[in-house]
Amino acid sequence: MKDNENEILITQKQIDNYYNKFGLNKTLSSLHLWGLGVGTVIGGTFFGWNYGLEESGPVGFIFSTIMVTLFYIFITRIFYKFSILLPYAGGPYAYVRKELGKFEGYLAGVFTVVEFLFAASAVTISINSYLINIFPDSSNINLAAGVYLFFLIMHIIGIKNSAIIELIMTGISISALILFIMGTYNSIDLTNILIETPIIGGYNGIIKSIPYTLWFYLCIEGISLSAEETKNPSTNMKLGFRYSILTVSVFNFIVVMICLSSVNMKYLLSNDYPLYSVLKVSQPNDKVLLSVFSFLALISLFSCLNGMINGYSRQIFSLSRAGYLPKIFSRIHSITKTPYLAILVPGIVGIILSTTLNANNLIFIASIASISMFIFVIHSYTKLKENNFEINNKYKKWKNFLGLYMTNAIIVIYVLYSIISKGKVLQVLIFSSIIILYYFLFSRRFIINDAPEEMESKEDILEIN
Amino acid sequence: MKLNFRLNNKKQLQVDRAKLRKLGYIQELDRSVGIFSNFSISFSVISILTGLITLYDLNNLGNGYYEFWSWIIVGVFQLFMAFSLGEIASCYPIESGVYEWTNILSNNILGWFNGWISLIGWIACTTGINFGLSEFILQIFGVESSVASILLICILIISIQTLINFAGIKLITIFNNYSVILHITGVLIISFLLLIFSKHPVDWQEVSISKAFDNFNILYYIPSLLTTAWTLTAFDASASISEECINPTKTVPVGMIMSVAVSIICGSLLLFSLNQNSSVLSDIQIKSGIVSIDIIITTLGHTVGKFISIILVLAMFSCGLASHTVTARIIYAFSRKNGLPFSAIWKSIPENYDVPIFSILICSAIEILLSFIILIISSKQGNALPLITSLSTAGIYMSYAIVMISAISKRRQINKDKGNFHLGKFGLIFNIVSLIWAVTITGIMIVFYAKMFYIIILILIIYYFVYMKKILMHKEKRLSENELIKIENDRGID
Repeated sequence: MKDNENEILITQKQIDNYYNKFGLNKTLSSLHLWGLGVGTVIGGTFFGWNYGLEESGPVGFIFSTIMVTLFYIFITRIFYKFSILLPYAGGPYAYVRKELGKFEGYLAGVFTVVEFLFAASAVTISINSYLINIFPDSSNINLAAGVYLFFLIMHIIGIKNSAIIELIMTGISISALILFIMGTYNSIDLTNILIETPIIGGYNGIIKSIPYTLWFYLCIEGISLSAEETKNPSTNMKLGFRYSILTVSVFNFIVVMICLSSVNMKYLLSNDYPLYSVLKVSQPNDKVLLSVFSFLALISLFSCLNGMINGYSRQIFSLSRAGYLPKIFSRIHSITKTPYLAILVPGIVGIILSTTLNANNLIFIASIASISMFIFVIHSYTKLKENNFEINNKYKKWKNFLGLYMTNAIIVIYVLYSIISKGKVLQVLIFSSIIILYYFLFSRRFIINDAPEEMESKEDILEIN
Repeated sequence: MKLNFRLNNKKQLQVDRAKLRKLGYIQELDRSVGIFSNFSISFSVISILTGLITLYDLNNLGNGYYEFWSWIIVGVFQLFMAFSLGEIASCYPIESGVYEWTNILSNNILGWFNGWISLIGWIACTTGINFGLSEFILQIFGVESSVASILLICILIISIQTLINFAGIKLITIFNNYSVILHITGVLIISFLLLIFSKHPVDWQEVSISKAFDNFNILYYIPSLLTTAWTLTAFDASASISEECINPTKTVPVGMIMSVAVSIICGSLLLFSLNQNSSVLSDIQIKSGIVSIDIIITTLGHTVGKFISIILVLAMFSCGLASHTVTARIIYAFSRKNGLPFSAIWKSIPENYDVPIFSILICSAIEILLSFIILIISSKQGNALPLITSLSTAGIYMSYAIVMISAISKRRQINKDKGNFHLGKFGLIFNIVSLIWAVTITGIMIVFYAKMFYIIILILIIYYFVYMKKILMHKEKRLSENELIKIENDRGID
C-alpha cells in the first residue's frame, strides 16, 4: 500500500517537473484561437490572389475559390478532431506520429515548419514592398525585418500577449474588410464578371489558379499548434476552428465577388493591391477612407506574420522536445514560459530567406509543403477511423473510406502535377532528400520517449498488444 | 491550481452570503459578477459615446468648447462622489444601493422618498438613452423622424433589451464586457481619425484656461453642464448589482471609481478632438440635427462616417441594455421593501428563473410610456432630449445628495461598519464636497430645464400622505440571522 502511495507521489512530482521544464502556459480561450486562425490567413484576402485571374478568368476563379474553400472546411474538420484527441504543441506531427509512425510524423512536422517559415518570409516581402510604397525614402533600409523582429520579441515575452495583439490585429483587419464592403457595395456591376471569356483555359485554367486561391487559407491549420496552450481544448478548439473558417470564407467570398464585379479583370491584374485599387475606383474623392484603408491593410499583413511565427515556433519546439531536431530548441524560458530559441533562430532564418528568395518561389514551396503535409494527415485520419470505429456495414465502410482515399489520391496527383508543370522536379527532390537524410543520419538516434506526443503513441501500442 | 481557485471562490460566496444575512436578506440572485464586469456595467451606463455624442453642442450654439471644461469640472467632482459612494457601498453591499443606504443611514421615510427619486432618475436615464438611440438610427438611415417612427424604433430596442435581460445576468455581463472594448476602441478611433485628418493643425488655444474665462458667462456653461453632468452619472449601477457580485465590498467601490476615472480620460479625448474640427460646421448645407455626427461625416467622409455610426449604435445599445438591467434591479429591490404599488408582483421571482422577470417587464412598459409622453410634449416644444435627460440628471443627483446628507449625519456608524474600502478621516470632507456638488447640479437642472420635477415631487408627497404613511410608520420586523439561515436551508441553498 505504502509503495503504491509513494509511486503516485513520485509520478505526480515527475509530471510537475516535466511540465515546469517543457510545459507551455495554458492561457488561450476560443476567442484567442479564433483571432489566431483568422489573423493568420486574413492577409491573403487583401493581397496576392488577383494574379490567379490571369489563369482562369473571373468565373473560373470563383469556381476555384469555392473548391478550395470546401477543401479547407474538410481539412479543418479533420484537424479539430485530431487536436481534441491529441492536444499537444506537435500538431500535424503528433497526429501522423500516432497513426503512421516516427518517420512519417517527422516528415509531417518538418513540412509544417517549412510551410509556416516560408509563408512568413513571403509575407515579409509583401510588408517590405508595402512599406516602401508608404515611405519611399526608406527603400535602402529593410523595415520589414524590423517588424519581424518586433513580433519575435512579442512572442518571446508571452503567448498571452501575442495572442491579444493578434486578436486586436484581427479585429482591425476585419474592420478594414467591413470598411471596404461599405465603400464599394454601390459599384457592383455584373457585366464585369460575365465577360466574353468568363473561364479562361477551361478545367486546366481552374486548376492553374488553385495556388492563388490556396493563398486565402494557407496556414489556417496553425490553430491546432496552439492546442497545448489552450484552456479546455475539447470545446475551445472546435469553436476556434469552426468560427475561423466560417469568418474567413464568408469574407473571402464577399470580397472576391465585389472585386470581380465592380472593376474590369484587366484592371485588377495590373495592380499589386487589388482591394485598394477597387476602393480607389469606387470612392476616388474620399482621401480619408483610402488612407485609413491602406493603413489597416498593412495591419492585416502584420497579423499574418504574427500568426505564422506562432505556427513554426510551436512545431519546431515540439519536434525538438521529442528529439527530432536539436534539443536546444525546446528550451523554455523560466519566466515567460515560451520556447525562446525556437522562436528566435528560425525567425532570423526567415528574415534571411525573405531577402534572398523571391515571393513567388516562397509561396510555391510553402503551398507544396502544406499540401504534402495534408496528405499525411488525411491518411492518418483514415487510419484513425479504421482502427477506432468498427463499422460492420460494408457499404457504410466503403462510403466512409472511399471519400478519404479518393481525396488523398486527388491531392497526390495535384501535387505531382504542379511540381512537374512548374518544372521544379530537381529542386524539390534535392530539398526533400536533405530532409529525409537528416532524419536517417541524426534524428533517428535521439528520439525522446518522454515527449507527450511520443508517450501518447506508446500507450496506444501497449493497448493493442 | 484550478481546484484551489474554485475552493476560494466557494468560500468567498459563503462570506458574501453571511454578510448579506447580517444586513437582513437572503441570497436569491445568481452571484457571478467579477471585478471587470462590475466596472464594465458602470462604464457602459456612463457611456461617453451616448451622452457626449447625442448631446454634443445641442441646438448648435457653439458650446463644444465649454463642454470640454465643464467635463473636467464635472469629472473632478464626480470622482469625489464616486469615492464617497464607494465607501458606503463597501459597508452595505445590497441591491439597489441608494435606496437601501438611505434606509440604513437615516429613516425609512427619507429612504422611501429617495428610492422614488432615484428610480425616476434611472427610468428617465434609460428612456433618454433609448430615445437618443432611436433618433440617431433614424438620422443615419436618412428616415424622416416622426412620432410614429421614433416610437416604433424605441419599442423595438426596448423589447430586444427585455429579451436579453430575461436570459440572465451572465449574458448581460458578456454584453457589457464587449461594450467596454467597443467604447474604448470607439473613442480611440474617432479621436485619432479626427485629429489626424483634421482640416487644420491641432490648436492648443482651444483648451487654454485663459479662454475659459474670456467673456465668462455662467449661462454659456449651463447647456454644457446638462451634457456633461448627464453623461458622467449613474455609476451607482455598480452598487445596484451588489448582490450579484463576488466579494462586493471590494469590487463595487473599485468598479465605481475606475469607471469614472476611465470615462474622464476617454471623454476629454473625444471632446478635444470634436472641438478641433467644429469649424467645419460652417461649410455644411444640410444638417442632420446631431452636431457630432455632422462633424465626423464632414471631416472623415461618408464611408468612414457610416462605419463609425455603426460602432456608435452598438455602443448606445449596450449602454441602454446596462441601464435597463440596473433599473429593473432597482424596481426589484424597492418592491422587496414594499415601496411600490403592487410590490408583491414586482418582487416575485418565478421558479426556474434567477432574474426578476416582472420588474424587467414593468420597467420596459414604463419606458415605452415615458417615450410616448415625451414625444407628445416635444412635438409642441421642439427638442425632446434635454427634457428627459435633465429629468434624469436631477433625479439621480438629488438621490446622491440625500445619501450624502444621511452619510454626514451618521458618520460614526459608517466608521464602525467599515468594509474593505474606507476613506478614514478624509471621509467627512469627501462627503461634504460631494453634497455641495450634487445639490448645485440638482438646483441648476430643476431651475433651467426640468420643471416637470416639481410636479413629480408634489405627486410623491400626496401619495405619501394618502397611502404610504401608514405603511412606513409601521415598522417591519427584521428577520434574525438564524431565521434567515433556516430559510436558506429550507430552500436548499448550500
